[in-house]
Amino acid sequence: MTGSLLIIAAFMIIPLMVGVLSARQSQETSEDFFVQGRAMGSTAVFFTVAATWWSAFAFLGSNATFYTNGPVFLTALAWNLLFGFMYYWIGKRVWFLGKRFNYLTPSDLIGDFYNSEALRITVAAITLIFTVPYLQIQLTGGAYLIEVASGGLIPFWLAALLFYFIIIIYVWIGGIRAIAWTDVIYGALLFFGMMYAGYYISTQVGGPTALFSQLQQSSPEHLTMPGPNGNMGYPMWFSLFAITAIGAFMGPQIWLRMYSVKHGKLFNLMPFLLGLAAFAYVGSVLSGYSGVLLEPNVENPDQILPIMLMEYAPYLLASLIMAAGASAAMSTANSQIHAVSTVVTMDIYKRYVNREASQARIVYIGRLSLVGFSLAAYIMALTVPGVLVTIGIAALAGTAQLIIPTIGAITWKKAHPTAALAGLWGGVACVLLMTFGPLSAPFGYHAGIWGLMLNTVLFVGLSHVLHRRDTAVVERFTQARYDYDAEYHPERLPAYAQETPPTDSYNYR
Amino acid sequence: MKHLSPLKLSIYGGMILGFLMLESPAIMLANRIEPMLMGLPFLLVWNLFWWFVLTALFLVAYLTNWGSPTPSNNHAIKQP
Repeated sequence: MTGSLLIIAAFMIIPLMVGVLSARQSQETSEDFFVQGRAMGSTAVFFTVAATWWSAFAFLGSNATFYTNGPVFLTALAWNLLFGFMYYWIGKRVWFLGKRFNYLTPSDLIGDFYNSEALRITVAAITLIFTVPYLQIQLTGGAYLIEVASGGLIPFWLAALLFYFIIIIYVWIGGIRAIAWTDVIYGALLFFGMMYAGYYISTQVGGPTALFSQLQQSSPEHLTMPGPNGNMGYPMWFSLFAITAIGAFMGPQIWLRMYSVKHGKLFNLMPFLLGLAAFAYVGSVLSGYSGVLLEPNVENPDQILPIMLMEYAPYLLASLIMAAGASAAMSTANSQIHAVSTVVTMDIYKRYVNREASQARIVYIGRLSLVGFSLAAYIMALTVPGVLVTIGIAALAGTAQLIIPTIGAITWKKAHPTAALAGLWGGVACVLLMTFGPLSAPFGYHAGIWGLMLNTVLFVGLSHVLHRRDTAVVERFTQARYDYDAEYHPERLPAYAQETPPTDSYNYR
Repeated sequence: MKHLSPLKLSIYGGMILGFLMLESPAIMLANRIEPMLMGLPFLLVWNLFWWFVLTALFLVAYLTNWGSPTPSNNHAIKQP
């Protein structure tokens, strides 16, 4: 027990020290605090994006889903690839525009392109409202693990409190730089933990081959869709793929990790790295399915992994792997807390409360917001029960709606602000009504899919009917998109094919 | 669509095929336990195979600048 407490203490103290050390390079400017002066290097970018993207949802939720619902979580392999592809295709364009027009938040880009205050406020509200529940599940997942790893010595409420106390200290001091540095540690621990936990636990039933052979005999319904409960068929397979990847990608914490990148070329490599990392899910396949054989009657499926570790692994190894799981939660939570504080500070305080705020004042407000949102998530973790994956998907379905106006902003000069606003409101209303209201999502697809469909129809349809009059804004973005293509995709420009300069009447997209 | 070189078409075409194999209703054709390959159920093998194909394609895409000319090969570009 002393050993596991030492591991938990090390897990808390080492990131704290790394965060404090990184803060020595910090400058007291909002750009440094929020996006590291747009100069984050490749190692930090990969680890902070991967560790932020992989959360308690991945570490605990994946095991729980294989355990209770069969193979539907295998779609995670594809959603990681989709996330990587979007990071290249959308992220690189967002990064380029962010650098050119000095953006820090999703509202900055969307509000600027559509030239609409209503849209700016709507986007800020969506990012805040739907990020907090996702933040709550990180806290819940991390606290579960610490509670179990300590053998109950550290109760859930105290584990969650410790968890947030540590995060607040190093994010307060070092901003996104401290988060990126600590995420290198968290990321390495997380991938090691997932893989090794799966391998180790599967050896308890004779190894991977024996595991599947026994499962085929005793519970074959766990190996094919729609799973043992009969409700996880193709519609949910596709829904999880689309909503998880898009919803997480549109979270404000990932936006900050697009704006922070130093060189555009890194975006070309990230799909490969993020795709490769997805192999760690094989660990979850093994541990979740081993649970079906070893511990078939666990009441809370989110606890299947820690329960098996405590039962079948040496105590120190179990504690170390659980620390890895807590890393998954902590590395997402620190980024989310930092991101929502950025949204509050830049989209609300700086824009509507104090436009003349000094750099020091902006950073101070950002730090206060850290504490406020941490407290809200802590209270929710203690008072709002729920299964990690269920809460997570509902939250992601909300942020996923932002993808439609974002694609419009980076690719389409006809995209209209009224269309974007109607699409967002329609999409979010659809998600809320089908998740919490009287409507049920038809044909087994998640509410988020129907929200995206309604959002797309409204956005494209109204943009074709309405016409923008703010030509100066439209032309500014047209020029920026042209410059982007000139730098990264010159073959897309007519001048490249014809080797002649375009005429004045040429209308670039 | 003149800007779609054969290389770029191959990269993006391969990616679309990979995602269709994983996420279109075609996945239901692979929704079976048998034949087990290397002791793994067929659905898992199918997913791992297409995951590998897509990850390898992402590597090829990186090495070929996603089918776009490298900056040193760019023609002189005039702004509109």
